[in-house]
Amino acid sequence: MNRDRYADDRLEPLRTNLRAAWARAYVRIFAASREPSWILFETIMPVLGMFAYVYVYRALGAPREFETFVVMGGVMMAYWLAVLWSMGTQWFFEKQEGNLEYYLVAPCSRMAILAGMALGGVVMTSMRAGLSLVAGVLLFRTNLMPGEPWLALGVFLLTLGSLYALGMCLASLFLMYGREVWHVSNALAEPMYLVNGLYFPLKALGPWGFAAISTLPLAIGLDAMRQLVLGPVLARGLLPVGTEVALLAASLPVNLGLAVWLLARSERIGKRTGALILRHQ
Amino acid sequence: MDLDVMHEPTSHRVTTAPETLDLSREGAAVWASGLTRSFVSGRGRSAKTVHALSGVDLGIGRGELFGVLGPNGAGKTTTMKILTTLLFPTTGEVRVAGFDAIAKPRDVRRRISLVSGGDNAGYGILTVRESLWMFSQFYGVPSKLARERGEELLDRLGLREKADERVNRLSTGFKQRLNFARGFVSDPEIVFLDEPTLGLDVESARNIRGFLREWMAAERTRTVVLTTHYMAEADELCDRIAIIDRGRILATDTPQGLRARVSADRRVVIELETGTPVDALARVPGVRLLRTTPPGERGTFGVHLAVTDGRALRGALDVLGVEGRTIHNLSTHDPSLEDVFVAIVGRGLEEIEADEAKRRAEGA
Amino acid sequence: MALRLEERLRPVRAAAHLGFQIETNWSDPLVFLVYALARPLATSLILLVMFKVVIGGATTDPRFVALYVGNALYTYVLLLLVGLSWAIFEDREQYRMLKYVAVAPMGLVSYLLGRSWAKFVLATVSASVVLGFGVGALGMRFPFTLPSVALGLGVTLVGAAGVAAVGLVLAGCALVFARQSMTMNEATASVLYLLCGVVFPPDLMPRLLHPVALALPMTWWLEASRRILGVRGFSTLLAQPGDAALGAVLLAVTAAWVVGGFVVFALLERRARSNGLLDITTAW
Repeated sequence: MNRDRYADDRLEPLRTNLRAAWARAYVRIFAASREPSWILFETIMPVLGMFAYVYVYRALGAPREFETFVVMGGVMMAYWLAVLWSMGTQWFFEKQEGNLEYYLVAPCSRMAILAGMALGGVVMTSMRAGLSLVAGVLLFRTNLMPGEPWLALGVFLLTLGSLYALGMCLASLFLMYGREVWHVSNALAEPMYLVNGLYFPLKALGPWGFAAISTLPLAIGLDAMRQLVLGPVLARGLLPVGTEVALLAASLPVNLGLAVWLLARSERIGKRTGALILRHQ
Repeated sequence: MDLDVMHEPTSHRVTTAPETLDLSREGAAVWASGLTRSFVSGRGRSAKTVHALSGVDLGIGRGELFGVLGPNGAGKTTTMKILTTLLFPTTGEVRVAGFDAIAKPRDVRRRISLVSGGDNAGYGILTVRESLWMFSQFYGVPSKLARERGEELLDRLGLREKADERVNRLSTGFKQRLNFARGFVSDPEIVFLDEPTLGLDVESARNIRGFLREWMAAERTRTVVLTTHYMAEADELCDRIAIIDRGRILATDTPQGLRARVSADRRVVIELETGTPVDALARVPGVRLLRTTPPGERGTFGVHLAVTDGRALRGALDVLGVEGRTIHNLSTHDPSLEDVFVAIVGRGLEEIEADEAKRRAEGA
Repeated sequence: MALRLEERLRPVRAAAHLGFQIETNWSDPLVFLVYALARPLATSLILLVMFKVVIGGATTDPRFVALYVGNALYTYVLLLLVGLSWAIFEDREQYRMLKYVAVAPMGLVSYLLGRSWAKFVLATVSASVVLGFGVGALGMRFPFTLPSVALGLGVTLVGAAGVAAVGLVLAGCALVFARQSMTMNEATASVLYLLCGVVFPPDLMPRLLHPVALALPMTWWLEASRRILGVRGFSTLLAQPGDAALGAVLLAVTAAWVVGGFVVFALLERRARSNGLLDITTAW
């Protein structure tokens, strides 16, 4: 006898994936509230670190718009760090803790799990990003009001989408690696602040700025949002906002497609080499 | 479908007679042919190839509780990883629930679940109840149904009092029970249990074995594949057992069938002072010297014999008496699974694992 | 007595060996070198771009040299201080070995300090390369005389002791705030980047925070290091004590933190033991 609950249910994969994504997001969104100390360590303290760069500009006697660069960079940095640590390296930590194999034997898509992580991560990280904004406005009197708020919101959401898709690519790449994942992620923090122009206008990087803007969603989105807040002149924008929006819109499906491909490929390689099941490497 | 009742005093489960099982490529719950698996460890010149599986063939029928018995490093876990789509075999074909596990992993995954032994029970920040719900969602179980199943599992596995406790505050035994419950919340067709009672306290292990029997009894097509190196567990639970060693399956049969393969001889264990020569025993008519066990703390060691009848046993005792040996203890019993294992593999599980530990210590 | 010291040191040496293995054996040397230098060099370059985009002057400008030196030495905080606390998280949740170390006679503190030795060496290499980059690529000039080098080494050791002492407190917190042990490291490093006058004079911060800055050993260590490297007048707040007085303050504050670090760690470890947190896993 071969009972088959699934034979004629075409929507079952979609339903399973939505349920899986929601369940994974639930862990981050609701369970987080049980240990509120994360607000101190993941929100308040990192924002204080951002202030150091505001003070550097003050020490150098820089014009006020540079403080806006820092605060906006700090907001987006929160998302980059979340993408790097809470998405990119997550499979590695899941593997170390023995959870990965339970995801891998489940019928849901790994992309659904990653989407759940992203959703949960966005909710949590937005707390930190919001605090950066509030602190910037209240403590440093930074001007953060965009001229075209809806366009700015659209750019922000596009940037997040593309950034988290990039995080999915990293997660897929890191799926079969061992401890080097942690080191590589560590090494990707500050260099990414540099090439994405988190604390200064991207234009200051010269030709490297163009290289960054052609590949990194964070660089594109940040440059566009700075232009929308400060205007193209004060923001020292690299490309017209319209062009940057088009670049962002194009990068989203590219990064998502790349993530799907990388995930499938990594899983195959991992199953062939046994890397998926090896822990404590 | 023909049924018979297994003569297992601890198990009241109605099982399918082995000869009526459909073990064909298409009909079996699990079917594998010629599975090999090699791992490369190290890099460059120091790279070494380890052969974890060297040609495994398996046929497990629907409704069976099938045990894979073998020492550590025999290839049990590698086999499980391949059957549960976590690992490709180097060569060979594997079908689970009627689907090719290599080409159609999703179709397999919808119908199976895996429980690895140990206390890993998901996210420490979740409560036991939430944890069960979360894992059910990865299988697409509607929340209402998942909660109902979760509540039932809480009761049946003695987790009720811990339902709202966070996982990272549970004791090891409760974490293991939760880990076990997780494997059943999706109501799978085939459950793979990789050493599920490893390191468990007696009460929890009994609880889990009881649950397993009930779960199987509730629906005839439910299948469980269990790896273990606990002989008694395999003997008590399994309809059929495959004995695996060094990546090969050496025998597959019911526990009774395996015992019958060894012979109808009585087993005798004689405890003698350490250093006593025992070669003469093997020359007594009707006596086979099976093995000796390492010396214990009491300054004695065990001699395991197979004897055809009472006369042969008398002969063996006479030899020891003539030589003036002191017999510290003597017991007789029917062939156990341990005896079967020794007869098939050539060594006892304890010996193999002691040798393995010694080899590791020397390597370190 | 000598034998007992030898017995005590043996497990610390083993922990140091383990630390080096964990730090270095995940990759080939070239990739490891890139990793070890990527972070400090990137922050230096960020500061360079910030300086260039605002001032646009030579990189030998004392304002830039002061923040460059602070940033180079901050590597000790990033690696040594964060490393102490990270070792707790890593050994407890990834390798699941912390409970075994905790029941061993050597104790957690000796183990952690031994394991962090690799981080100290790595931080020294990293800071030296960044300072070397300043000299070779950015044209900075530091007075490398025998007395200044000797003094610099001495101050570095004192500074590292101060960093390790603060790290011990953080490691103790990692034992107790188990769930946050992964994130609290970087968060603390960020706050110290703000408070210790690493890249800007602490005078610029609100007055309320001045006592906090002055109570941290890193603030005095960085000022002493700057002076040894010929950079003076970075901060009015820190300029008041003369060189000898600065040395005395540095020693006193560091000593207080070392004693405090041991005491606080012992208290927090006891709390973690009583709450059964030594083998907890917390990920979510």
